[in-house]
Amino acid sequence: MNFKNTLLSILTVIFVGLISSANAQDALNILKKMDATAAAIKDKSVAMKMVMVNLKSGKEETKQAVLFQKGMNMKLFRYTAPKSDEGISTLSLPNGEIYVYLPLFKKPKKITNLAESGAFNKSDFSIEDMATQAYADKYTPTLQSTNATNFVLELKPKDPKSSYSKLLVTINKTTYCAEQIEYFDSKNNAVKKALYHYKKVNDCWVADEVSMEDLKKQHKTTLYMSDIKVNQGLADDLFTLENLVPEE
Amino acid sequence: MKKVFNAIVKGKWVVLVAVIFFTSFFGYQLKNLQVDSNLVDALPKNDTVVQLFKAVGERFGSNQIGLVIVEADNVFEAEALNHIQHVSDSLALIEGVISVTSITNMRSFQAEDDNFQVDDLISRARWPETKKDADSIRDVITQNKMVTGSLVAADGSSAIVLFYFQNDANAEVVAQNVRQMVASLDLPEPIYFAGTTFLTTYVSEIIATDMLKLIPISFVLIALILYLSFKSTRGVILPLLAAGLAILWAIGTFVLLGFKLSMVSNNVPIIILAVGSAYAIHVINRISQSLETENKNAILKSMTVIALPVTLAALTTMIGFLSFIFGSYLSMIRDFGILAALGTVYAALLTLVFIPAMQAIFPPKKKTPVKADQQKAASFMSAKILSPLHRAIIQHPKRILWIWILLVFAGIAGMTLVKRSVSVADYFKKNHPVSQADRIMEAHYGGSKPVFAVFKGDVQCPELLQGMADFQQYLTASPYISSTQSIADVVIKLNHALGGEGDIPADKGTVQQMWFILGQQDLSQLVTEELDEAIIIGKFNNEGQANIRSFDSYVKDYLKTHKSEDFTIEVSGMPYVNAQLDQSLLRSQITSLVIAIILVIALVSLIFKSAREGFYASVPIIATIAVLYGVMGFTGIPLNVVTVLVASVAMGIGIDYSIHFISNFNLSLKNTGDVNLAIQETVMTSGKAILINFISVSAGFLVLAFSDLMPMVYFGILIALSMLGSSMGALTLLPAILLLGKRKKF
Repeated sequence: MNFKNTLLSILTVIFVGLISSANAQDALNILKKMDATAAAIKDKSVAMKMVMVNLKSGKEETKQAVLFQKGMNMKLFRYTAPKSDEGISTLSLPNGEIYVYLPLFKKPKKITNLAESGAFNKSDFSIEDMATQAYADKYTPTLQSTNATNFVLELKPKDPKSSYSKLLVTINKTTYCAEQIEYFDSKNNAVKKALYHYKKVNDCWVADEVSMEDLKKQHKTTLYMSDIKVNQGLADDLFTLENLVPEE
Repeated sequence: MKKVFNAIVKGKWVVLVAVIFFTSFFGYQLKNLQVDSNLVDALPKNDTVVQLFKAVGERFGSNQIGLVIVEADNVFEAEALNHIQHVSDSLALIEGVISVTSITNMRSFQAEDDNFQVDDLISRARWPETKKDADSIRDVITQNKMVTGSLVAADGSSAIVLFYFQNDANAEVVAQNVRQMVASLDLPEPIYFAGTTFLTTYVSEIIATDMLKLIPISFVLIALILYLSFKSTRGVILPLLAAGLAILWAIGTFVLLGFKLSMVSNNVPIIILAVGSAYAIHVINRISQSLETENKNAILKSMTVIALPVTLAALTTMIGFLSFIFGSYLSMIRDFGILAALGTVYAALLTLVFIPAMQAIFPPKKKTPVKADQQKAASFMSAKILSPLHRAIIQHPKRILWIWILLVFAGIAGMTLVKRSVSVADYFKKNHPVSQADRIMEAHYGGSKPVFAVFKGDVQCPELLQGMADFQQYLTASPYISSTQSIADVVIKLNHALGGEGDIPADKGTVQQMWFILGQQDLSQLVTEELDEAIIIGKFNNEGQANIRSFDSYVKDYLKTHKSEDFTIEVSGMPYVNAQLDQSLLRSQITSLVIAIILVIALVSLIFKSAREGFYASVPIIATIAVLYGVMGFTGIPLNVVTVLVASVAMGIGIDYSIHFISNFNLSLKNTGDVNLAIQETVMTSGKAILINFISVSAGFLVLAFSDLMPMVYFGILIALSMLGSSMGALTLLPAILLLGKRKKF
């Protein structure tokens, strides 16, 4: 009797373990496919309109910028409007190097250890949210649910310093693009919610509208992308300090 | 009158059922009983100083700050840093806590050539290994103006973990969770909590403990005194039952009306206990001294005589309490008046209806008629106190009058020395953690009561920022402000770090571009999201506390000469509210006392149909109040939100002794026609009830001396003292005046 019980327990543990492992394997594969979809864009340039709305007061603020991106780690942002922000540029390089150029201070400055949780130019996106990243490298996924059109993955950050305790990502089963991401704080409360809309450009799915809502502050930022060009062979020397400072 | 009491005696069972019904009904309401001891909530909503203070708190979250103070030999040593980080990390996990800042997680700008670093204030990699390292880190960090005096003491003896309460969170619950969490860490360093919300939770806890601890003690003490006085179980149970029911009914009604208990109304149960039992004492004393052998006749005859003085006593006491409704600045004082008045009404009602019904249901054992003289002679009190007293009154009325005149003059002299205190931190005993936290805040962080200067205008406008920097310089040059903090400081520091001069940039465009970096910081405590208001937070020191008026005129001088089209400046803060509160205490005191004196004299005159008797009745208590203020002045007991109640409460309760005395004196004079005999009879009959009442009421109030809240301690002592004064006044000064007045008349 005892032997039977023990055997049954062992088999149950093995069975549950196998299921969990299969689940983790599936989840990781889904996440890797999502990363691969994003990675299909070798480079891109977009004109971006950033609309920030205070949902309590209804007050709205708009900024405009152009963005050049190559791979995951090279990014050049240049603000074109409003007048006060015109010419402000940031350059992100591999190894987390970030340079900022404020035209009225003339010289670019390297910014080290910028708070990852800090707001990106008053928007609801943090530096951490804006970083283009391979999710599979930074998070451990588990499959939460699935339906006819979507997978829902729970992502736990591998970095204990992350400002989030977990992310719930809804991934389209056909395109493997993230359609919604919910961000949770250390107390497991949903603090932010991002929604993505995509369009196909040169056989790549590119987000042409992304919104991020700060649920606590009741503040929302929507990025509208236009003039989207992908895989046009942007050169590495576009992402240099010399290019950060616009020509006189 | 007799018909009414006849009906009560006849319908005694109906009365009992009705009392049980109402007790159940009001008792059920107690499940909704809440305590709110937040002084800010009690401030008047229409006061402009209060409005500005509250508005600043709401916009910048300044009323929502919580401080956890960690004390150590050197907080920069690794172990202490570990513990500070532990506290910071644990606080961040508590629901309702936002934005936790301490020296272990604070980040600061550093500029080196073209590298602009946003780095940890104390990088984890650089945490000290030796005491020497710790000392050198302390020497470096304490040079940082943004941190020293805000997050760490200049000598490294303590550090602060600062956090904000989330706007929609129940701050008191969050504060309790914070304290529990910190206690569960079991850290070796002494840890204290500061900030208004923690003060409120401490006060609420003390109120709850006091209620549980002091009321039963008060009950037992009064029961003991009643037993020693009446030597009968009935003499103990009935007064306490009537008072207990009155407390229950009053609090039940109070809750039903939507009120909450506060640190002021906290003492009402003990007041009702004292007052309510006093009414019953007079009734039972009268019935037990009745010469009637038939129980029903004894009740009817006694009630017919005692109903008027009890009603009158209740009305005058109520006036004392209700006077706070008209004269109070704080809603918690007004609520106290309402609750105490309710308790008085119920106590009188139960005394006049429930006690005779109970006497009828449970008749005392048949007694053999005893002559009044024999009964009195048997009493120790009568033989050793009352008899010598009445002889002294009859023989030396003028001497008694002069002694009182001297006491009153001494009281008036002491009155000029009375101090006022409005700081909530003063409410705690010296060894209480709140007092210890207050001492640390005063010594190392420039106090815990900030003053705010709100600048309205375009925050990115250099003129506004320069105006802030100039005003900060002006403020810190004064003896009142120890340090200041504002967005102008941050802009100056960042401008320097970005390669500009260490000042406010001259053009708005530069400031706007700096906001690209500033926007990544949480600046909600310094500027509004719309960038249309910014705030200077100044630390008010001890000097400032004592001289808020001088500080106010110092500020006004600046504002008069520094008007700008680009911005406006408004100055606010708890010290300003305290100054208003301080003024209001005096106004409250004078208004409520004048209202109480006028109404009480008018009422007593009306009932006795004699203005002279109305005046006579009030003389002992007015004299007592003068002596009471003298005692406060000479002993340094301050006038605060609780002791401000004493004079009017004393007036309301203390006048009862005179009413009982005059009432009995008039009856006796009518029966005997002899002033001396009437005085003797009154001292021997009412005197006993007055003395028993004084001893039991004082004992009830003196229990408050065991409270952990200083105002309650003072309140208990002062009321007991005023009971001594008013009872002695009624038994010495009043008969002396009556005697001298009647002798002249006859």
